[in-house]
Amino acid sequence: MPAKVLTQTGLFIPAEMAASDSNFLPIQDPAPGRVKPPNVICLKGASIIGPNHRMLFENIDLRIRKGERWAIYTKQRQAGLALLRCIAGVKSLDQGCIDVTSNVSWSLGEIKALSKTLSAEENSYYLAGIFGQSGQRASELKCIRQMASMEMSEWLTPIQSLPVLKKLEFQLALSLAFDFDFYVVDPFVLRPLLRAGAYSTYWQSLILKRLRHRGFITLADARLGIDTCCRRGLVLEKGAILKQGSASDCRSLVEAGLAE
Amino acid sequence: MLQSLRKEFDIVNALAYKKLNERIRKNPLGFLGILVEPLMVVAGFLVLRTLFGLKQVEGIDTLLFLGSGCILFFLFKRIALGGLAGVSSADRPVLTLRRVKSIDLLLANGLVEAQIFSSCMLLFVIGVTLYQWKVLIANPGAAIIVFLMAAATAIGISITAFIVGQRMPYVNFFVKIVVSRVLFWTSGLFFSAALLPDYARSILLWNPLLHAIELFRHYLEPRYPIPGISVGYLAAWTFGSLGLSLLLYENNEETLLDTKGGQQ
Repeated sequence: MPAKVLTQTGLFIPAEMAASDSNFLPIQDPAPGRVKPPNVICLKGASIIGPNHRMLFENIDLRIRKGERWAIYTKQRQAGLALLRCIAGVKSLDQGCIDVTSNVSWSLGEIKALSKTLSAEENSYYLAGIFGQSGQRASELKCIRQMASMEMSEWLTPIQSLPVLKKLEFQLALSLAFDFDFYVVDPFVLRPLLRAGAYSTYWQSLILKRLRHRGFITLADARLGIDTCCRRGLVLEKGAILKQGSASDCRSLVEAGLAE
Repeated sequence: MLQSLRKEFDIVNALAYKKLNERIRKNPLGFLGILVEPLMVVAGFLVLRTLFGLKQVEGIDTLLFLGSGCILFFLFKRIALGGLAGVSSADRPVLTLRRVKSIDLLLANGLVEAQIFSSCMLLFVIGVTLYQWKVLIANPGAAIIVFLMAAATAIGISITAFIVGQRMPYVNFFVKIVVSRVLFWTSGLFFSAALLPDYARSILLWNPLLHAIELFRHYLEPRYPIPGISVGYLAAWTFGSLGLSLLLYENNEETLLDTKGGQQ
């Protein structure tokens, strides 16, 4: 599959097209300065045991600095997802420790802390109280409702009664409404929304806007191609880090492995 | 520091909002149902007292005597036992949010119960005032302060019980018995401290909840006698329990429920 680039307008287009047209600018990581940015996330000796007592990954050391964009390349999808969920705070480590010194988001579009019996408005209100700005509650709620394109009846209904896609849109709107320092992007959660069509362009542009000057970590996914915006990468193979370095090197290693 | 306190207050407030709305949605009568439940318990005790033909307590209306005791006791019990139960399964997903700690959930629980029982108390006092057709609160400011001190003491005990219970689960069993059984009979719900013999009073005066209930009654009706009851003792318990709970939490934060697999 040809490499794709995420552009400012929110479209995933082939890299060759981006190179030839000056209107489309690929997203770059913030240029590294003399002083190293502070650590945002630090994993030491991290291990997670999956179902059937199988080790998903073992003894992983990872340091993510502020503003860095990381892509995880792995054939074992469960291991990659487990690592993302551990960083998002949803899954706990079985061994080792994780040190989070910044405001890290949940996995975009997937919020475990929502209350099913409460309405979208009530859930937004309570999350805005935790993650929002003081005194901006009303504007934040308005922003969430507009982003999710919710009718008043949907806004006031308990979220357990909402259709699956609308619930996903609401969760994604909540994820994008608040300002985090570092984002966790699970492409498999976002897939139903980011299929081809004008609707997907809307959500892509919103995600792009939010991620523009922020660091994030994601799982490489050929269909979405969001990992092409990452400067840093790691290759997970049989529960260990095979390579950790630039994303392009990791991508080449994985493609070479696939080719063989 | 003020900004951190402000943020902490916002978080606890948000969690309390969520808990209260969840309870309202679960109850068929909504918010009214949540208020009616403790008032029905008070009504039950009043009926029992009438049936047994118990002696009227000197200096205070019988309704106020029983109602104030019951509401304060159940406020204390609900908050204190909330810590023993730990973080409920319904609240565990909230701990996936990195800004939320288990202490925030306990504080939110205390805030919700304080809101509900203060509304009950207000309704009760207004109801009795209208029934008797005279103003029955002599010193409302002091009564509110005593109410808040009782709630704060219960919150301190709840956090301490939660932390100790995580390390020594068998302690929960004894604390539950003490709070729900021993305190029920020794906190002055059905009797006045003034009517107790001296030897019994000297023992029961160690119970801070007895001081809270008797003080509250005294501030509703100044003629109500309170021998040996002290605001200072209640205040010492309030600050002591809160201080101890925060000290224990600071030293045990890493091992508590909200830390997943180690440091966080």
